[in-house]
Amino acid sequence: MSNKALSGGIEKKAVRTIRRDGLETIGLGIFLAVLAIFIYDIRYGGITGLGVLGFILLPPFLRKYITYPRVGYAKFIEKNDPRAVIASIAIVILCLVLFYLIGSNEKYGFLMPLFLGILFALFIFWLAYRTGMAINYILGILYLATGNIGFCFTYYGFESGLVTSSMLFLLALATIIAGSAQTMWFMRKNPRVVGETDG
Amino acid sequence: MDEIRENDNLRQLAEIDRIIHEPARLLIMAYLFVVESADFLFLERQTGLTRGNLSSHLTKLEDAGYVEIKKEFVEKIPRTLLSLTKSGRQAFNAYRKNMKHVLDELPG
Repeated sequence: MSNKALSGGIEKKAVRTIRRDGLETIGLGIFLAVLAIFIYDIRYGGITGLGVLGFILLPPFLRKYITYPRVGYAKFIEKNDPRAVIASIAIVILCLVLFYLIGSNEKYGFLMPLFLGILFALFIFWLAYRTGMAINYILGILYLATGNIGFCFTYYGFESGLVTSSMLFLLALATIIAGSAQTMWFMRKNPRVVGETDG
Repeated sequence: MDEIRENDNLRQLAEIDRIIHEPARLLIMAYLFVVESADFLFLERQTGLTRGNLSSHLTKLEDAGYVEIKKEFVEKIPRTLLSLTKSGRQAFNAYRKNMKHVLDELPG
């Protein structure tokens, strides 16, 4: 086994120990619910920002009370690879531009369920790789399937905003339930350490 | 020439860091290598070592200057934060290079 593979294996195991708490999945579910509200009524646009903040800030906050008392605390080394940072920013900008183009043009509005289904499926597949949790792969497949079904509805004339927001709301529900199940499994598998955790 | 090469290989074997070479300590160093810092519970769970065993090995690593141990209170609960020192990271990298060379020279 190469050095990189060995340290990669150890790092992956260490990261997954913490990431398997299901909190990021719940955070994603909350974001999807908020996005569903925004797509249903664009006047609630400001709420999307809260959804993003919730997804970013909620898991680390809850980890202090749920995860760290059970499996311990670790701060991982931040690999600030400039290429990875630039690529991530480029991907986010591209997604936002596509979202705007599809959403603002009635001619392409019917693509929105398919676009969002694929986008969030890719995201949750990446989350599944990080956590090693099979349930996230299943969620990814559900996202793809729902995106395709939504596309069928919009292609045959159903109102895109209503179909997309309904689809996102259902996916939000499924994601929050799946994330909560992950968290409960994690808590059962890793009982809280009572008292001093030091040697 | 062959004799010189043979001596070099033997010297490499002799230069292996015995502090790190012990299996439990190697595991501890490996986990600390991939984090900026971690607490005692995390290391205990990852390595599977008992509390006493882990404590004993950490003391040896701290005495060697490879590990820094900081005790702090987080919401009235004591927490021991562990991290590799700069010399600890250098020592681990040197150990890794050394072992790779030694293993590459083994027959089979």
